[in-house]
Amino acid sequence: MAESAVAQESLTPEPGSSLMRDAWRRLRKNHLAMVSLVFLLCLVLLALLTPWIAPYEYQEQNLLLGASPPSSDHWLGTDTLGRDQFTRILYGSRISLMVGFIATAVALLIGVLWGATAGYLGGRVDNAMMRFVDVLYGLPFAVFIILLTVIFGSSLLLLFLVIGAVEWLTMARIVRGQVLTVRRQEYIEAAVAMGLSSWRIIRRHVIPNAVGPIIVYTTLTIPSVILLESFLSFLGLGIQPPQSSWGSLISAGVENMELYPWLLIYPALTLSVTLFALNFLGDGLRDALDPRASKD
Amino acid sequence: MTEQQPLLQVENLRVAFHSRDGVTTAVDDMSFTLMPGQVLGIVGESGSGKSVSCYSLLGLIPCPPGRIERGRALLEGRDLLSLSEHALRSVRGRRIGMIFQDPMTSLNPYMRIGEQLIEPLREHRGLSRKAARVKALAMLEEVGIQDAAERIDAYPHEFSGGMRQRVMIAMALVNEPDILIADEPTTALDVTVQAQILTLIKSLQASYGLAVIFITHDLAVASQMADELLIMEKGVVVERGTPKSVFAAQAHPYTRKLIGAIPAGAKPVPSEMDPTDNFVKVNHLRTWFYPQQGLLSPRGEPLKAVDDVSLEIARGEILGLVGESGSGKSTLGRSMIRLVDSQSGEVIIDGVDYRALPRGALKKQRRQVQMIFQDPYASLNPRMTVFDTLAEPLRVHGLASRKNLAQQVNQLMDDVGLDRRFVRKYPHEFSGGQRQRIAIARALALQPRLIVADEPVSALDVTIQAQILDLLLSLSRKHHLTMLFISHDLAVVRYICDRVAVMHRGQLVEVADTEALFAAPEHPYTQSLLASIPLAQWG
Repeated sequence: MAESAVAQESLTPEPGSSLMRDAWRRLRKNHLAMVSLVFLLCLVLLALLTPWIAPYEYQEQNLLLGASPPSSDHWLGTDTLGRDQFTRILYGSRISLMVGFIATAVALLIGVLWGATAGYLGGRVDNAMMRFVDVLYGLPFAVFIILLTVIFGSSLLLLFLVIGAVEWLTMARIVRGQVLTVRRQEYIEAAVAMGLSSWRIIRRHVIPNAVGPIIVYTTLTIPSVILLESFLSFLGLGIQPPQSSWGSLISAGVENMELYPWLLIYPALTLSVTLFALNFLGDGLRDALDPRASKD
Repeated sequence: MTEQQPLLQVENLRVAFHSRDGVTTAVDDMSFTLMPGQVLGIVGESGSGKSVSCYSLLGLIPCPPGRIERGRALLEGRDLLSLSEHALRSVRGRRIGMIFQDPMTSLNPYMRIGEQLIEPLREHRGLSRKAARVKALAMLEEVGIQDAAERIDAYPHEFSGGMRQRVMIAMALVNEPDILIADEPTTALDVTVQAQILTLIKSLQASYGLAVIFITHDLAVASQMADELLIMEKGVVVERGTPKSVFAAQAHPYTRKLIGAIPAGAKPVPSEMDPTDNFVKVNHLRTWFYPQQGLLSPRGEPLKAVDDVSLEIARGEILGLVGESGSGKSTLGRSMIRLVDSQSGEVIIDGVDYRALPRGALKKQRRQVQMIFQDPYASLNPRMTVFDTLAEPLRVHGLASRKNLAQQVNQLMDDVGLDRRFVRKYPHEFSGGQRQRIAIARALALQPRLIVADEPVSALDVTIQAQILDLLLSLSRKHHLTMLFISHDLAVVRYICDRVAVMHRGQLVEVADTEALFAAPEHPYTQSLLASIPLAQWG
């Protein structure tokens, strides 16, 4: 009985992207990746709800208190100006997560499209597109940013664009290399012989087969972007005190590391755990998107 | 006169691979003895354990997941299976030499071949550089490398495939081992080169008094080379004996299947065709490749892959296109259906000049002409289910409504003899033969008129090969297909093709009816091709 039901179901497969559906099914079986996903979702939720749940205001100073270790009033201690560290980490997560996700998304979008196009078309087009990338690589980053700040002033939007504009270069190179190998596969030739359009071939055949390294690199980009933000904020682009971000909290913590270690430990811990979650999720996604990785 | 002692004695060898999904026994209860100067042929299809058994003797299988569960392998009283890694190292190369299938990947591309020969000599014998070089040079001459004194300082890529395999043989024999293990040494080589390498191994074996373990999937080759045959199926030796006695007895059904699967003789039923109706006409087609160039560097000398080729294929005919690797036969097939751009000439398929079509019209026209590729592991997108693979061409060309899409896919599965329940699976879950069936189904999905099949069976095991050939024959009759069948294997071509075109260095040198060509080849190149076919020698 049960077997014939299975057979019946298989006889009428639904059209659509079964890779995505199968990937989700496989991802759900990966406990580490699912825990990471839930953790990241909670983090995003906390960041969204911060104004309502934070115990203090992020700019609220208590100079009499100064830097104090964790206590029942201030769970994660206070900084040198007596500001509550837990509150500042919560507010910081709003900036850091936004920068991390949006800037990476910008880099991902430009990098994947640019790299896939260059790699797939090949020849002179590839040559020209990748030389352009090389030229951008050659620009000194700091000068580039200061120039932009002078022209446009400091804004969060600009921050996303600047980081995205820098990070997509490496992404484009990785994607191009991957696409170059995928493009030589016979199933791409078969797709051409079937009369598929280039765009459909890139979307359905090339990118899904190049996705492993893309995902891994993305999970590495998010944390580096989060740290990059603190460097940019230091240069005057991005957020300014009293606003906080994980990056700025960590760099402030480093300055006070010997006297007030909790100022470094807690923001660094938050960032590290987030990184782990991102990496586990990334590995899980990579395996889930590869039908060969798991037998079921 | 004492009786000769066996050189190598393997007893009850069992090797298993342990993985998450359980234990796979790769070799089970295998025993054999190898006498000095004897050639032992181990024959089997992929997964039969023929290579694993020999690799495990030298400690070359990865452990874990592999594990040698039982057995002994005595080389002059020492059990190889219980030797330490350090002790094994003095056996490898020194006592047992080895050559592999692919001479390109088993040579270090960044090292001069002389260095690669000198290294084992210094390692095993502690010879001085100078003495080792003299010895290496002598060895290269011995394996038939011409101008060895100059070639010794060349890099592997400067040698042809056959020459590289000669270098590999020199490397294996330079320390004068007693045993040579040859793992499919000629499988990657052209048929004429294969004949030369086999002759070389034979003569070296005689002059050195070597014992050889010759691993191959090709029963004909094994029967030429070996004094004794072991036939393996799924890790078990199912039949053993001299080639003559194995052929005479054919005691095990698997042996019968193997012998029966060798394509022999003429095409069983000629295709239904109209010889006056030229479905495909190729006129003076020319496809040249220019070497990769930088932004500013000048054009280099072109590679004339297809040089002024003209041919016709009648409606319903199966035309064989044979030639060695690099002869341009694949490029010709790809140029005809415009997977590769040509410089000049005409390709007229069913009255339409393919080379003159604008891109948009070409995409529509493509459904008339489909291709089947050699490697069923590379020609299917690993991230698409069988259903998606087969449904995609139907969707793109609007050949199926949402409702009857599943029905059409099922019909295709039936056509190529695959179980309908497999449509949700991914390519890696299938065997090589099943994958090739999927690839054939994909090619048939668009109901094409012409199929270009590029070595469609050469990556498959012999028994599977026979099934796929019969499937292609029956499908071409059922759907009235015209076919260009590209292959290096003349026996296969003879079995399936009505006419044969022989390609050599970018040009067609001979086109004739299959049987006429086999009976009386005219061009000297065709003659040498036919003379090189390994024929089974059963006595």
